[in-house]
Amino acid sequence: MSLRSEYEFGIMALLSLMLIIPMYFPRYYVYIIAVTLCYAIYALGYNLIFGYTGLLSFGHALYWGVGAYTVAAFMRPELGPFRIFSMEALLVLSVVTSALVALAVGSICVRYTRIFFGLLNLGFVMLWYSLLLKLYYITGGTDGLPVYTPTLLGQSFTAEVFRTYTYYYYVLAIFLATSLMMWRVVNSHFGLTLKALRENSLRAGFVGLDISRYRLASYVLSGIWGGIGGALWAPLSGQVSPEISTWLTSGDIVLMTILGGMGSFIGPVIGAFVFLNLKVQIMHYTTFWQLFLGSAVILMVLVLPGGICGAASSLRLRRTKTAS
Amino acid sequence: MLSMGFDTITFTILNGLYYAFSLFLISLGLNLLYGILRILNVAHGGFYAAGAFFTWYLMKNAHDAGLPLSVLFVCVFVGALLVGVLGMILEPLLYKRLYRKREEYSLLATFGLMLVLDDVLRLVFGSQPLSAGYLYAGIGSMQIFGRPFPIYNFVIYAFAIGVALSLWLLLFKTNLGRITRATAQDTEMSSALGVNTSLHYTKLFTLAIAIAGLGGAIYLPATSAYPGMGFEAIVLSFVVMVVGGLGSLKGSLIGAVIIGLVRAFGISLFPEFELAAVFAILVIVLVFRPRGLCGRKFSREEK
Repeated sequence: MSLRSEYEFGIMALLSLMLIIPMYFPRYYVYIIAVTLCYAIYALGYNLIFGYTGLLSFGHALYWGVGAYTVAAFMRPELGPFRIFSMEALLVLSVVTSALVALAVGSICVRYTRIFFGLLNLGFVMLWYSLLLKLYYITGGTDGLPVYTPTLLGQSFTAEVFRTYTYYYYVLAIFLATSLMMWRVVNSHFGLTLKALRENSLRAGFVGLDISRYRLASYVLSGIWGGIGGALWAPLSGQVSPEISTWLTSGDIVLMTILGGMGSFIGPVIGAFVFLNLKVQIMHYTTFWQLFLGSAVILMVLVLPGGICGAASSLRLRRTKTAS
Repeated sequence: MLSMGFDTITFTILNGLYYAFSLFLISLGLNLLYGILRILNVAHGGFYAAGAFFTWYLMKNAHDAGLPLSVLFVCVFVGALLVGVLGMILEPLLYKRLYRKREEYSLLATFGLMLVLDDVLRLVFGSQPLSAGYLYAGIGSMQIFGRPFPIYNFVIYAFAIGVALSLWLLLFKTNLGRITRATAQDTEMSSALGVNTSLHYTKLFTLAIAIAGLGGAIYLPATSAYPGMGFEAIVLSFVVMVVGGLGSLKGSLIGAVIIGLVRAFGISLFPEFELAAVFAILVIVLVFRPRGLCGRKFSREEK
């Protein structure tokens, strides 16, 4: 089989597996996979700024938080007749808020690279976190805000059906749509330009590219993807609290991306799956999840900087070499 | 500020310095490592926490054995020394492999180490906050403007100033310092001139880690050791580093004092936004003066 059809076969097989999950798997797993898909969308976006553009942000949970809090804020009972329960409308609002925040924060951040970029993002996410914590009449403070069950395409469901069945397909559909869009983005001229910036921004500048503008566009897109992920996740969790957006939760998305393989398109999605499911499994046995995670990260950086996808592709390379 | 009397202002400043010096001791080591080895050591918070936990263990046992206060005081140094030993073990195992890697990679690996350290401390010492306030209570308090103020805080101030002075002497008046400054400027040239840079890095690393351990150790009698303290400390130390300037030792003192005072005045003047103010300062400094108050200018390549 040629490489391309092998890939297509794999994707079709995986997709049909994803479609039947709610019918055959326990409800708990359906929930876990739905959460994982939200993170996968977020990771796809994060990979654009980290893997493709080469900027390490230690504050991307900001956008996850903006998306999730947008959903919760527009559902608040205090809004009376203006409360919004339509998930489509809430998603559009989350895209708008996360894009606006990313535009404002990004226009400052993209002036720097490397450690300064990372620390500036860390500063912004902690600023946001401390505001979430203290502006309790808007954000609910430490307790956060409840998230009610939204309607999907105008239909309302009971919480049970929603969480284990209908919403799963909803999230899966949005995951597929956002993946396709991101695939188009990274394979466009724009995506190639980002890679050029990552490899040598000085040279890219000499060629006449407006470096900051490209970086900003990449940053805003990755922020929007983070916002969509957070917004989709909020009804699953039923609650948003400030802890979802700190520098430590921002670290999680970095680790997922590293684990899967930064720079490869599908890597961060695999990373999100492995990270979250491993976490659930390990937490069954012990609360010392950080110990495993930390050791894995150190090993990854020292031994496998390409992540799972990098290791897989080098294995494949070795196999084809010995075969020929 | 108008509503604050002179006595309140004095107290707020003293409290601010109290916060400041813990951040100073952590960011001093961070800046030393960043300035010389180009590593932003996220795990530094973990070593700070280890200092507190080790000292708790020593002090608790010494106190239960009925040893006098002077011995308890020695525990602080022993705790810091043990952290230094931990650093000396970890340097060849992990850090040595990171020196030639890109900054982002070392950031990630040390973040991983921070996660490991935090969990190992939790595994060994449990999740409850541990306090050993014997020394703090034993030294007692004095009256300032008719209000009690713990004398132990002055021990902390003296310690921090002592560490700053001895590090300055070490770097600018001794041979070790001359070698350090030389290797920081040009590693290849120094090793060509006969400096064993590998060994030298191990020494520096141990020193930086031991200072962080000392930070945790000296604060233990006044507060408590608890899991997660390293994460809280490191993120504020990053703010101090940026405000003072990455890699600048003078900067870590100035940055720490600024952040400490902002927190202290924040708590009494605008408690809602105390934490937000600290991070707002980080953002403002990065936007208007990214090299920090005392940092050197960037080269074009770093921009």
